[in-house]
Amino acid sequence: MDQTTHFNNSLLRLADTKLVLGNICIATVFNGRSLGDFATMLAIAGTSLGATRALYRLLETAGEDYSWLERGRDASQIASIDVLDTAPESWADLMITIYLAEAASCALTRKLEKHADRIIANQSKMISKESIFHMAYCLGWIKTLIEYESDTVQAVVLKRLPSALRWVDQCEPQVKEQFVDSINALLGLNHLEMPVALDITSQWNSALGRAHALPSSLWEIVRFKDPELAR
Amino acid sequence: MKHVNKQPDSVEFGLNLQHVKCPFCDSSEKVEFMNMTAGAANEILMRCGKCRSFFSVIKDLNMLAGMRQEPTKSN
Repeated sequence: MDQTTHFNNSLLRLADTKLVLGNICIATVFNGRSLGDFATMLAIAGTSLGATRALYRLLETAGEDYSWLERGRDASQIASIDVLDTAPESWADLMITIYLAEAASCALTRKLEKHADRIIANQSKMISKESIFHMAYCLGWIKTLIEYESDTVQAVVLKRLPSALRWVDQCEPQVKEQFVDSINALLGLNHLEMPVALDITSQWNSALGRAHALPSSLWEIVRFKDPELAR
Repeated sequence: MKHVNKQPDSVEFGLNLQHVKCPFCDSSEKVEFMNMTAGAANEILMRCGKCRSFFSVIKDLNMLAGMRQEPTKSN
């Protein structure tokens, strides 16, 4: 794999992670505890989908077909982080899931802020800033939830974090330190040690950064419902 | 699923907003954090404790007191 392909895969994983994250926020917004949560969840959705669109445009300038990226792929071609694959089972689970997806993608964008291409660097700065505020929001909620349901919060961290660690190890090992910095805040609150990353299986696709197609239930949320209308 | 009524406050969100001024009365003494999102995704909703007006401020990384802001050496 040449450097350009590797870089494009990296951008696609970031873009698709934001795509799935944005759609999950839309699908789960009514679980918010207040109108303020509704507003923030929709803000995370809006900025995530905005980042996806901008990153697809960057990939278009690198030779990819925008329409294929946006609505030409099936569930087996989506390159999102698999931490988002399983539907959150509680408000705590949702906050931790968003936090982990943002921590992984933010670790990558912080690195890309120093990219030689100014457009990529600027776009990355913008995405990082948004992600940092999304993480602050989730962490604020996690601190509050720990007071009432610490067992649930700890169980979710231990359930979701190993797959996030695998994603960073396999896809973006050079940003592991940045990712671990973000995760330490989460572990410290819960008095937990860093778990071991999940092992990769023979089905692992290094370009997509995942082993399996997006689950059908999640794909139903993410996919364009009527591609014909978008033409 | 339990329902937690308590909402996180600005401290739990890691925000330091003590330098924010009310755009209506110019006071910064009693501004209160209201919500992480105001009218737009990049704004925080605030309320002035003096004139009681609601207003929004643009999110700025300098407002985040409790979170790491700088990339690590390896990056």
